[in-house]
Amino acid sequence: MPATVPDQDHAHYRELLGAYALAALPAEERTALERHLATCPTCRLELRSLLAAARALPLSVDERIPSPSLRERIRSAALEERERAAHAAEPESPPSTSRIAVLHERRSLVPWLAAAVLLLFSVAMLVWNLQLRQEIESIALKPAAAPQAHGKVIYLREWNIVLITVEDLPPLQPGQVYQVWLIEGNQPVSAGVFTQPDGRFAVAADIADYSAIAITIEQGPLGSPAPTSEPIVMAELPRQSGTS
Amino acid sequence: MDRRDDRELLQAIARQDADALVALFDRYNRLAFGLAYRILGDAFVAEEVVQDAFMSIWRNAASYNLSRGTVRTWLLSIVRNRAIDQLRGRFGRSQSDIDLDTVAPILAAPDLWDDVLTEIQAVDVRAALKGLPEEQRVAIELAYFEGLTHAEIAERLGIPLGTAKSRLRLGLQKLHDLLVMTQVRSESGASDGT
Repeated sequence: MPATVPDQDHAHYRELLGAYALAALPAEERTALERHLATCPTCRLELRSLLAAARALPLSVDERIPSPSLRERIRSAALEERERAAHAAEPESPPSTSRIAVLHERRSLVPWLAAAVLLLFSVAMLVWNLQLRQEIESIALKPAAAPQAHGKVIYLREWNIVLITVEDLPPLQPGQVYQVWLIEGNQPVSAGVFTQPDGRFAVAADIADYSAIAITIEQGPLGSPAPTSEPIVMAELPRQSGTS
Repeated sequence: MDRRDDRELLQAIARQDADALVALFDRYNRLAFGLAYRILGDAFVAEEVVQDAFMSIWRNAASYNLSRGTVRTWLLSIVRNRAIDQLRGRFGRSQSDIDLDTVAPILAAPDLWDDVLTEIQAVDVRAALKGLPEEQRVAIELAYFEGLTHAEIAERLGIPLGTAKSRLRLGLQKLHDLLVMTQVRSESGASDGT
């Protein structure tokens, strides 16, 4: 290997330009030459021509036909990678069975929303917290069978979270629970159960698929497969698209 | 045949359009495979290298910039570097990638001449190579197609290191001049013909 040379040795570096353009320089010399190039417009200019010539070299080879399967191999490798990347980018999906998370008492809305997100989603979701305010739709829960009960449904459209606030629900008998239902047509689907008459809850569900949400009193601890009593509160859900 | 030009295809590839990648493959697979085969002399490994190069484009299309030269130049330099890595048993990060891929940004301006080069034909490059003094052509080919360093070329040919350096540099200079002359001739020929 050649010894180190003084930085100002322009002639020396100039002699290396051909080897550099052809990637034929060992790492040390390459680094030294790059330092020189940064300060030497003459060498940069010459390198441009040498590099252009080097780039023409692959055109001199005889073209050759690869096996016919290569094309599809590349296509499927690309699609597979795209698929994998898409999965990696997806947020952790909510539990497949809907469930309710109880949120502890807080007066202000934003910490409450943050708590709901924290409960139901991975930490990565928190990055999006700042956007929360723009994504909120709030719907009043109307009293049905229980005249004094009321509440609110807040739908975080982007993340399939339903936040429910209830107050003054009729008291439960021992062994009973409040059960949340998502309803499409005449088909109520259980979204989970809770037991506090006042509180805030988060439900992981895509309510775009449903036209109404309702709460009934059911036998605990797991609730019923279908409602067995009149709703105590309910609300119509906004349609995202399609029929009403 | 896809009507999009190379840059449009590359933009589509950056958006992960697999059809665009296949269209680019259709355009350059024979050249890419020919290059890999020339370096490796083994069809199986050469195909692996070509696939690897197209997948590299698939992943890095968004980071492409003009200083890398044309899309074809970029593709072929990836093929060449990967093939040399295979040939020389280098794995992991490519040593040659550092050269041919990072050399260009050092240059102050995009290489305008390289745009002219897009029109250049294989037959012109072969003719220009034949026009070089034999010893310069051999030195260049040892560096480009076998991935030898200047010191290895000197050793292989039994010549002083300084001579190897000069042959590489003077050979490329001459090749450049011959190619430019070809271009000038074909351009004036084209205008004469109309």
